[in-house]
Amino acid sequence: MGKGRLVALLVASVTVVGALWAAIGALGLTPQLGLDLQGGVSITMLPAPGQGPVDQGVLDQTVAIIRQRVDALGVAEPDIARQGDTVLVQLPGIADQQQAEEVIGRTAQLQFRPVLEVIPPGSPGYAEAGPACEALTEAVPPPEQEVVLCERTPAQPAPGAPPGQTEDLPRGQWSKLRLGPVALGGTDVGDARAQVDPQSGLNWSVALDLSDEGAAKFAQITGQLACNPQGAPQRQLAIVLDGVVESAPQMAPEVVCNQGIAGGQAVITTGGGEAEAKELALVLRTGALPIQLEFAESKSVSPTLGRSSLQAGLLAGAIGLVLVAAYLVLLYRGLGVAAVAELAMFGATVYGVIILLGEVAGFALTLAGIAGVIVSIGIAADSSIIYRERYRDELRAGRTVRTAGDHAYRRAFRTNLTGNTVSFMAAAILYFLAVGPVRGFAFTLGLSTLIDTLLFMTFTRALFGLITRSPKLGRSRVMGLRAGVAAGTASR
Amino acid sequence: MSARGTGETTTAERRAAGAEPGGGPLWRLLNGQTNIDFVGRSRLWLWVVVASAAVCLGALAARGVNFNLDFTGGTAFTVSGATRPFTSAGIGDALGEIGVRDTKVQVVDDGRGALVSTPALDEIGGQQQRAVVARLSEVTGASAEQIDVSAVGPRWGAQITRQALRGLVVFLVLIGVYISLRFDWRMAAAALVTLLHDILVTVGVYALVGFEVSPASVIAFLTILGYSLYDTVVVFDRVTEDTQRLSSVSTVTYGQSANRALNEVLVRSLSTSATSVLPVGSLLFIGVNLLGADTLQDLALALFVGMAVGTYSSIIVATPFLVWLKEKEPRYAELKQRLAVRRGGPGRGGGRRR
Repeated sequence: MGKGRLVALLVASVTVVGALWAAIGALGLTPQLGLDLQGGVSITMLPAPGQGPVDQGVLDQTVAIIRQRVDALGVAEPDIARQGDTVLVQLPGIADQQQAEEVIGRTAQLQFRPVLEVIPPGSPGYAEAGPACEALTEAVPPPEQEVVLCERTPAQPAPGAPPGQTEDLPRGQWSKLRLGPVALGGTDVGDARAQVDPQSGLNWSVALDLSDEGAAKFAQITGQLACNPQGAPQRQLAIVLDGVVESAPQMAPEVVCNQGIAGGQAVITTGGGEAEAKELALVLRTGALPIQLEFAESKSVSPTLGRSSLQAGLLAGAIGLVLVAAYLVLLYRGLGVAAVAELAMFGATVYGVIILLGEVAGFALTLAGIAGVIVSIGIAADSSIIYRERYRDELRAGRTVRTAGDHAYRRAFRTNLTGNTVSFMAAAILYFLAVGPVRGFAFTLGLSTLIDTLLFMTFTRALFGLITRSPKLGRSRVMGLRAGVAAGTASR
Repeated sequence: MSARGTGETTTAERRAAGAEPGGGPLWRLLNGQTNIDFVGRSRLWLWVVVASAAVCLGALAARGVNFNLDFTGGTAFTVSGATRPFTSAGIGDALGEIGVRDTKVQVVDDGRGALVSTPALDEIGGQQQRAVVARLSEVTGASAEQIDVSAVGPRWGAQITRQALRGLVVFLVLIGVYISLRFDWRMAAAALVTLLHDILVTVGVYALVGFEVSPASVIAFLTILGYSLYDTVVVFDRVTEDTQRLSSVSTVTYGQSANRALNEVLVRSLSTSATSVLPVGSLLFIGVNLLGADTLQDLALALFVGMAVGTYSSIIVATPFLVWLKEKEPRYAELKQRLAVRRGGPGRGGGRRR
C-alpha cells in the first residue's frame, strides 16, 4: 500500500471516529445506563412449575399485560422483555420495590363462585377438606369444577390500631369454603377502581364495573343465590382472587330470587389500606396474567449505589488504561507511544459506539458491560503487541524497516483475526445463550473485539505503515524502530 | 532458510543483520532469543499438570464449590445510611425473633451499613420479606428506602447453571470445528485439552480457597475460556507458520520447531498477560474497596485466577500436547527418527525425553 493511501486511511479512520464524537458532543449524548448503574428495580420471573409446557404466544401475551401494568404505575422507560421462558422487568429509578413486585407478579385471576358449604376451622372434616391453608399457592383453581378454598379472615383489630387496615389471622385459622364452578371471571370486568367505603369513610375497597355480558351473568348468579333462605351459606357469593377467597358476601334480603342484582356493579372489600386497594384495581383493570409466574429474582439498587458503581467501573477502566499505556511505552519506546495512540483510539471508538447504540438501539451499559470493556483493553493491547513483536521478528530476519512493517502487518493481521474470531465466538455464544448481566458483558466484549479488528485494518495499519515509511523516525533512537537490532551497530 | 529455528543459525542471522550477539537474559527475552526447552520438558509438565489436576479434583470432591445465594436461593438486604449503632449479633437476634434464622450479617462502611443475607424466604416480595425490612429499619435506623433487597428464588440458580453448561458445550463444539478448519484437528484437540485444564484448575482454586461462586464468576469463567483459547491460538498460529517450513530433509524435528516458535512468542505471551492482568487487577482493587460492587469484584477475581492459569497452560500444556500428537504423524515421526539416527543417539532438545 502506497504512502498516499495510508495517509487517506489514517485520515478516514480518524474522521469517522471524530465525526462520531462530534455528533455525541453536538447532541449532548450520554451513555444509557443499566439499572445497576442508575438505580432501580429489576425483577426476573419464570413460569411457576406444574403448569406443563408454556406456549410462547401465551408468554408474549403475559409480557404485554405486564407492560400495561407497569405503564399504569407510571415508570419512565421501563424495559420488559422475554428471553425464552424468562420474563425480565427492568424499572429504572423506581423506588418502591414492594409495590412493583405486587403489581407485576400478581396473577390476578378473579373468579366469582357460589358457596356450597362453609367449613370453619376445628369442625369435623376441616383437615380432610382440600389443601391445608398454610400451603397456599397462587395456582388458578380449575374453573369448571367444585373446589375447596380458604377464606382470608381478618383478625380483630387491636385497640388503638389505625382504622382501615387489619392484619390477617394466621392461615391455619382461616375457614375453608366448598365452592361451585365459576359464574363469572376477570374477563367480565370492564373497569376497576379503588374507593373509600362510602359509609365509614375509612375502609378501602375496589369497585368493579362489569361488562354487559358480565352484568348479565352477575344478575343471573345473584338471582339464583337469592332463592336460598336468609343466612344459609348457599346465599353467599365467593370472590376468589388467585386461589384465595377474598370475601364471600351474603345476598342482601332485598335481592329478589331469580332476578338478582342489576346494573353490573360489584365491590371487593380487601381489608388492606389505600395502596393495596389501588394495586388490586390496577391489576384487575389490566386483566389477569394467562399463566402463573414465579419470582426468580428481584433486585433493587439505590441510585447512590449505582452512581458509585459507575464511578468505580470508570475509574478501574481508566487506571487499567494508564497502566497498560505505561507498560507499552516502557517496552516499545516510540512505537509504544504509537501503541498508546492505538489504545486511545480504541477506547474512544468503543465508548462512542456504546453511547451511539444507547441512543439508537437502547443499549444500556451495565456494570458487567463495563467489565467487558475493561477485559477488552487487554485484547486491544495484545493486537498492538503482536504487531510490534512480528515487526521485530521481521527486522531481525534482515528486512528493512519499511518491508518489515508491511510483512508484519500481513502476518499480525492474520493472527489478530484468528484470535479475535475465537473471542468473538465466545462473546456471541454467551450473548445468545445467557440471560441478565451476562448478556451485557458478552455484548460489549463482542463489540470491542469487532472494533479491535476493524481498527487494526485501518488506523493501526496506517499509523504503523506511515511510521516505518518515515526516514526521520526510522533513524530516531527514541522511536525504537531499530531497537535490539541496530543497538549494537550504533554503539560500536 | 529451512534451518532457521536452531539457536546457532539465528545467531548467525542476527550477525548478518548487524546486530550485537548475546546480551543478558532480559535482552534475549525481549528479542525472542531465549532458548528454553519447553517441549523437551514435557514429562515434567505432565507431572505438574497431573499433580495440580489431582489437587483440584481432590479439593472439589472434599470441599465442593461454594455457590452464593444466586444459585442456592435466598435474600440479601443491603442496608446503607444506618443512624443507630448496631451489631451483627443484634441483627441476627432481631431477625430470629420473627422466625428468620441462619442469617449472615456483615457490618460495613464503619457501622453505617450492613449486608444481611437470609436463606430463601417464604415468597419473594411476601410478608416475611417485608417483616425483615421493617425489623432491619428498626434496628439500624435506616429508612426502608435505604434497604436494597435482592431476592433470588431457588429455581433460578438451576436455570442459570443449565444455561451456562449449554453455552459451554455449544462453545466447545464450535471452537473445535473452527480450529480444525483453520489449522487441523490435532490443534483443536490440544486447544480443548488445554481449555479443560484451565477450567479444572480455576474451579479447583475456587474450591481450595473457598471463594464464593456468583453469576459474575460464571461470566468470568466463560470469558477465561475465550481468553485461554485466544492465547493458545496465537501460539499455534506461530507454530503452524514455523513448522510449515519443515520437510523430510529438515534438520529439526517438529518438536524443536514448535519449541522455537514458543520461544519466539514468549515475550508476546508475557506482555499480553501483563496488559490483560493490569486492567483486571485495577478492577479487583477497586471492586474490593467499594461497597456493593460485588459484580466487579467477582468478575475480576475469577479473571485474575483464570488468566494466570491460561498463560502458563498455553506454554506448558497446549504445545507439548500438540507435539506429542503431531509426532505420531508418519512424516514428523520419520523426520524425528532420521535426525536421531544422524546424531548417533536419541535426538536432542524436543525429542530426547519422550
